[in-house]
Amino acid sequence: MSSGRFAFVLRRLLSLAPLLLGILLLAMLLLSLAPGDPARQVAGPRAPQSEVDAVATELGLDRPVWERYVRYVGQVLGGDLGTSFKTGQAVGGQVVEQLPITLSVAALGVLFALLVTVPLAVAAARRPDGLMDHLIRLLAVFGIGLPTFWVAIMAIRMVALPTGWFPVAGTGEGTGDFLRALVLPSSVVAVSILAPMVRSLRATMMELEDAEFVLAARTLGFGGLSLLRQFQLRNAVPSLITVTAAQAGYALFGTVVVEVAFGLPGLGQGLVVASSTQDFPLVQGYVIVFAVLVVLLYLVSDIVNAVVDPRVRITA
Amino acid sequence: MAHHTRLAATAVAAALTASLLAACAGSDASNGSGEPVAGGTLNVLRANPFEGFEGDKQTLNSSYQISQAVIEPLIRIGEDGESLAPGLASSWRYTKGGTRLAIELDPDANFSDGSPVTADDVAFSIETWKAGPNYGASFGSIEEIEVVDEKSLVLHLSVPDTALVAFLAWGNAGVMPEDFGGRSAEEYYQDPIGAGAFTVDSWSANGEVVLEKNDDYYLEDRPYVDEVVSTFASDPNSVTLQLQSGEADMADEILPVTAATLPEGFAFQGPEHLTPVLVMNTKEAALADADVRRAIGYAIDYEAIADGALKAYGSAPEGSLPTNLENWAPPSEPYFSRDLDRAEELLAGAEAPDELDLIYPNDASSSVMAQVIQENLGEIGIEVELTSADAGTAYGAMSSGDFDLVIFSNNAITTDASDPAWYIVATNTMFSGYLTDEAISILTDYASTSDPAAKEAAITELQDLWSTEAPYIALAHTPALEGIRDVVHDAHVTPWGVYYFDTIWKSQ
Amino acid sequence: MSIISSTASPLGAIAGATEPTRPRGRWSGRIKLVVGLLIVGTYVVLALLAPWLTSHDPTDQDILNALQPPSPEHPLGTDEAGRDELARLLYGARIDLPIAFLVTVLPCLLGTALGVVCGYLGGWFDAMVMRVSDLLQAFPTYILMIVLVFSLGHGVRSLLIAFTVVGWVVYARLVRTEVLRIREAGYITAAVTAGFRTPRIIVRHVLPNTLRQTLIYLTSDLVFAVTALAAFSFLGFGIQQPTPEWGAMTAAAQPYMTTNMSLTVLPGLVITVLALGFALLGDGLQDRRGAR
Repeated sequence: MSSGRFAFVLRRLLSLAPLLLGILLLAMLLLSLAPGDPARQVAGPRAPQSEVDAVATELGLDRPVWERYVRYVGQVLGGDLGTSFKTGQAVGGQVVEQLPITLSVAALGVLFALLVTVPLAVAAARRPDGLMDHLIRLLAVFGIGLPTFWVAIMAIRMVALPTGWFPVAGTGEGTGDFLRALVLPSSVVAVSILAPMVRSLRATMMELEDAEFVLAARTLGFGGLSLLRQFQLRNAVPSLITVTAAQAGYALFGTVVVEVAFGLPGLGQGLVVASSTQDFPLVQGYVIVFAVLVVLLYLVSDIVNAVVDPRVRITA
Repeated sequence: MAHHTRLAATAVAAALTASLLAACAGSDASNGSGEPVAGGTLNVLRANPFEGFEGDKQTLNSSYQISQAVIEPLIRIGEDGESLAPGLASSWRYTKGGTRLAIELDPDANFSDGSPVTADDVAFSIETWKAGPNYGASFGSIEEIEVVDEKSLVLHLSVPDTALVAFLAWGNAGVMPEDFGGRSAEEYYQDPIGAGAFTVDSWSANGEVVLEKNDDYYLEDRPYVDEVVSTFASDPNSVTLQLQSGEADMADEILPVTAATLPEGFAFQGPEHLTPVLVMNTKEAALADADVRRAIGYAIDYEAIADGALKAYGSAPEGSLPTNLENWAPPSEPYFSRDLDRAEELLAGAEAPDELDLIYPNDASSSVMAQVIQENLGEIGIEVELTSADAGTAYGAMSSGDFDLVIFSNNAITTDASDPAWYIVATNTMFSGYLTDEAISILTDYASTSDPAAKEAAITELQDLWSTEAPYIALAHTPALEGIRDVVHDAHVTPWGVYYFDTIWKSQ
Repeated sequence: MSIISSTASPLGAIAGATEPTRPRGRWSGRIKLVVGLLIVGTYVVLALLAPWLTSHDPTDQDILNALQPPSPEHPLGTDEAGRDELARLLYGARIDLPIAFLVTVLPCLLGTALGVVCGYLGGWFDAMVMRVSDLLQAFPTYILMIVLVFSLGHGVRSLLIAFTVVGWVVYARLVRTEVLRIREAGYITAAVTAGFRTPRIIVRHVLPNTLRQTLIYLTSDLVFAVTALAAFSFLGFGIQQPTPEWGAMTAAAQPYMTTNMSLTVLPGLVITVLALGFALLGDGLQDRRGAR
């Protein structure tokens, strides 16, 4: 890695600090807007007001916002995401338990999407404006408009039920069951992110068609189409990484809907249930974890790109 | 519907032991009988999130059910689902005119860590329940706890409180080791040790709760299953599908729509007992006038609720108190039924509200009920804004007085008609903010007589009072519904829908 | 700042994926535009004509005739409260379309305004707005929206705020860049010396240059809005029954999926086709731009 690249990665890492502080601030401020009295939540619905006030003092809810923020940041940096108002369980523990499900669904979804994207985009870019190209682009347009929750419901009704191959809810027992349970949810996530990926890769490949180095390769006698495709594809990798990262971020939301529809006890379902039961620390914890996941995703994609792509110019 | 079967916070409850021992028609949900077989995992779907093991924080059946399997209460509910039966307390006896309660503990009763359950543990537990801000008042009559020896104790009561034993059987009054076994309360509730049939393997509010068999359990041969996995599943489809595919063995508190779509033999139905109610906040100016509340009572289409929202699993209300209870009697005038003319008449002389907010639990039955009520009140010129909420949140809004109208469900936890009545009084007349000394004096009279006719007369008087004042309106009477596969045997579901995991066995 | 502009929003990814096309693309672009317009137009017409197309009130209950199969009286059957399904689907257009427009246009207006001000003023205001937009982009869109709707309570107002808070960023960046470009290009200096007043410069020079791209963003935002509104209703954060909103209808019909499947399928299908219409519109616009 050149020193320029190293500096880039360093700068990129440093830029995370204010971002993370901002995320914590936003998470805290947003939830302070929420209805309901957190102290009442902790004390219980029928606890006398004196008890509620005591809890408020204990939780520091009567302190000014900045003070609570500083305390909260310190707490989170120390690895403590707080405890659930409802159950007293550590938020961190719950998140750690649910994280694998969400990550598996999202990662498998992205993998499925990639497996479909590359051949489709290559096929479309082979003869721009050919029949195949049009067909694939039309499919992509259609894909954008599909409501994920509905696709999930239909998948359960049309695939899971009649075939009986997949569990209709939950993750079952053991690795085999777990993987089997992930197939449909991940496929639905893949469908939800597929279209932009296909379009983007196709577009990049066609831009590369006109790029100097491809023209050069052609004049040098690399006439064979397959070789050319390889050339283009390899050079399309950085942009594919970028769009995949963006779509992976989106896939994380797809998992919220999909987890609810398929009854998977992941972060997404957790967030929805915690919201409806008004468990503030839990909601806060989920929000932070989701945001951090996305931030990390982009970080990794930027760094990988900086390392992989010879053409990336590093600018401040 | 979320059945907030509850531990009533009766300030002073008098009455009722005789009826507690009277066994009514059994509500045995077993599929045939036979010799119990040990082993296997029981997969149960629960209708609501699990609120944790701290009894005072629990408000939902889902929570009591799991909690009592680990931290067992002193007294059990009998297999008929209605009477009280020996548990950790092998016997109990009221003396001195009901002001002393002597309790003997089962000599074999051990906590799951092997240490014996002692009178000191029970004393500590009672003190902990009593200190709870939410349910502590239920144990308010206990003035002093006299530890006689390791296995016996006497509770000194400030007044004759014969209802106390029923509270000692309730799912969130679990017996805990003294001083939480040397841990802090927080630590204990995260990883509790109790004398129940199961120990905690792992738990999460919205996900799985995994319970493992307690090998040291004091009841012989129990529990039969090695493991209970309770999963939160709120979507009726998923419940139906999982029962049908065998992914789940039982599903608690299933909705009428689910019961209606399940194949023959899958749904267990108790006696009509649960009573969904429309609670009105009498502290709000708009609902302060009893005529307005009564008008609302006459506007509602009860047939639509019973047949439409409850899919005919239920019938129109006969009074404000849950039915199928000892000494239950109807009001002297027929209870509310749809009569728009009468509703208009009542409203004509009153300051009618234009707009009311209705909070309802976010399940399919309550949702349809709410929409029926919205349309009905629209017909008498009251616009209703609907807000759906998680069951616990709806309960929270109601109990903290922050509402106009709420759909809630009322039921007894013992077999006597005065039990839900005491709950209604203790909750400031069903959270409506309307409470008179009259109701309390009727209930006190009820407790002081042993003549059934006089008791029924008192119940009628009470029903009349709550029909006239209408602080809340009963919407229907409906049975507890449980989804059960045919491999599950000896599930003794109570009329209010809670049961013990330890009596259940699965055929292989 | 990274040179690779990752965006948390699916919008950026969709709109950003430009489609280079050959001259023939103009034709396919036109076809897409026409079909897209036809679809959206049909929905608008159906929304306007709803009262004449059905004699049923979409919120009129007949609970004892709930979940009926199709009949001459109810061509698509009745829902869980005995309401006419066809009427609900038709009137649904009167709920979903305006809300979808509202939740896309408002962020566009806000974003454009902020972009103009940032580009002009620069300095601390610009820096602040851009940092906030960085922060917002770091948040996963939907998660941020769920939390906003959770915090602000159910209903249209919360959805509007949530969509606006999340959606303004792309527009602001687009317009700001354009303003900076024009300023640097000297147009504005020339125009200012020529005595033009600022609002006029914006109207004459900045906005026309960003209009097409803004429009493309807008249509893809509409696709997003239509599906996201329904998703929020499905998750229980959006609009509630008995309002005939398609997402809420789908969610409410779910318990009856095994017996009355069409109640779940139809509203979803209606959403999909509308989203497809907007997607075709956006794509057509894109192709035509590419063709230029």
